[in-house]
Amino acid sequence: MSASQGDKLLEVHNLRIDFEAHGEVHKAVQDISFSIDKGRVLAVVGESGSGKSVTGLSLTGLLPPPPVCRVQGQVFYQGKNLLQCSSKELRRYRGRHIAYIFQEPGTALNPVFTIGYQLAEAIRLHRPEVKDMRKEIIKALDMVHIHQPEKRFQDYPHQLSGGMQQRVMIAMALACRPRLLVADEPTTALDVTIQAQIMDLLKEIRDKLGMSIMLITHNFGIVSGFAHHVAVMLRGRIVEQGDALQIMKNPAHPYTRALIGCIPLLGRKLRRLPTIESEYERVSSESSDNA
Amino acid sequence: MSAFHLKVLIMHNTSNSYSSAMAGPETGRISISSSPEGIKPLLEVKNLKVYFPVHGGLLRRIRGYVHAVDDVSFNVSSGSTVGLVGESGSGKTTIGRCLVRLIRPTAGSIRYLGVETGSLSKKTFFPYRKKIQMIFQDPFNSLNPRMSVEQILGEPLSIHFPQMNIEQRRDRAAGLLRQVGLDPDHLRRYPHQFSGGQRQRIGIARALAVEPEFIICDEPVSALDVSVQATIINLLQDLQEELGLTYLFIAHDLAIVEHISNYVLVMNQGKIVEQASAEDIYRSPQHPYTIKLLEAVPRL
Repeated sequence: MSASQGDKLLEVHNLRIDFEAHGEVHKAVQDISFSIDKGRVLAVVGESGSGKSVTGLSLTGLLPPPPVCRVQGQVFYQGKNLLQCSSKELRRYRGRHIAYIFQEPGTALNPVFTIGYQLAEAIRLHRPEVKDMRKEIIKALDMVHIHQPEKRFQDYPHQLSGGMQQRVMIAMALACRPRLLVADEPTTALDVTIQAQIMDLLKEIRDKLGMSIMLITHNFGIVSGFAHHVAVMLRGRIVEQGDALQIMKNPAHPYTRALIGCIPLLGRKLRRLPTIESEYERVSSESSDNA
Repeated sequence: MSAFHLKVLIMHNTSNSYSSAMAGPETGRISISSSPEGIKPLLEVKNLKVYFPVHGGLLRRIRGYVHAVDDVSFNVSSGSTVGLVGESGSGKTTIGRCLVRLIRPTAGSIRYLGVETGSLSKKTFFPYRKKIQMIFQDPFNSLNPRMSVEQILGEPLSIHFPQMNIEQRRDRAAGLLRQVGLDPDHLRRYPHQFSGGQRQRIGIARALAVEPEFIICDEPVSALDVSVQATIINLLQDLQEELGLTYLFIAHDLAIVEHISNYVLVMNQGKIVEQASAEDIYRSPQHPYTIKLLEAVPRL
């Protein structure tokens, strides 16, 4: 994490994503710009429907082709504009440079192949130089702390718990040694205890491999202590972005304050939980009082 | 207890027998009552056990048993909320399903207002299905995509209130939607036209349709965004005040359980390892597993 400021791995300028359905245009993402430095973690926080997942998918052209979906703007990865790449060129970046982990590990893994086979598939495609595949698979599973990897790699996805499946997904993403990992709600489908374990694992990987991570989440609770930068999205726009500690301590936008306010915390002893609407009202009235 | 279940117990005959289990696992606390002295609890669960057979081999013979729920006892007093926390696989959903007889218990007693419901036949249990309702975890799978909201809310009414005609059912369904904060004009819509939070409200309306006394909320907010969770929790609390409902609130997140519950049961591997008031659980957790759960809650 010794990367100096301005050492940008990914730069997104004026990204717009429109979906067209039944003759109507839906603006999923409207003119957003952000960047990720080498070895740093950016958390994109927002409610469902705010456009955070499509932003992640658009980076390597994983959205449906026009006319269903139109992506405009510029996505510079190490100086190359990915939005102007052909699909053949993009395949070289997917997995090898930019890898993904998705929300539901149960549906992201293929149920009819062993996890070892699926890992081998990813490694063979992106790193053809690997000779001893078995050793490489065991190494990958060992890195995400799966016990007895030499036995478990022959398991099918249904034989693993949700937390274990997510570990396999992470192992698969890391096996290609990507520079940027896009983690799209990696812990949402998991228990709180397992969530803590997976976040610890991601922290360890972040520090050990020094890769950049784009964490997409609806929960501010998992952002603290993990992300360096935060971008808060609301209805397709970034309403606030900056240093994670600064934003957590001193949120400027009322929506950010509302999002932080509705995290369930222990021992608060409130009669009602703060909601987005109630927090928004409270925060807006406070700021108008101050003005 | 039916003869079949007795047989299963005898066949099983593990080291984990009734008497040794009665001696108690290493719980931090011994009290098993959530209700003050003298008041009769709404629900009493005593030494509940649910074992699922594991089949194996060529003839699919029973090879052993999974102790999903192992000797669990607790009380729920009327008008209160009892939280049930534990990670996936700890048996909390199995307990909830036992209470509404979606699963038959292997042993133990479930008393609802003093009546032993665990051993009732399907027919004699029927009136209790109206009194005990359930809200499910996944609002995407728990609503039939081919039924309109009116049909979803009308189905329990046609079963438990057969005297109602179609007009009355529609009026009641519209009233239910209003009660859970949805527009009564949405009766003709189908589940896919709603967001996750709205669907969970429909699930709550369906549970309320038959005027229940006791609702088992099985992870009602786990599948929702953090910001939507709060609105659903507030709705459940408002409904409780308004209708005098009793909740068994099942979740894996201790922060939410601590907020909504008067009394908390902590479950691990089929056993209740600690039970106490929500305040005590947070202030002075006794069991190492409770401490682990508390530590897993995100902090700012």
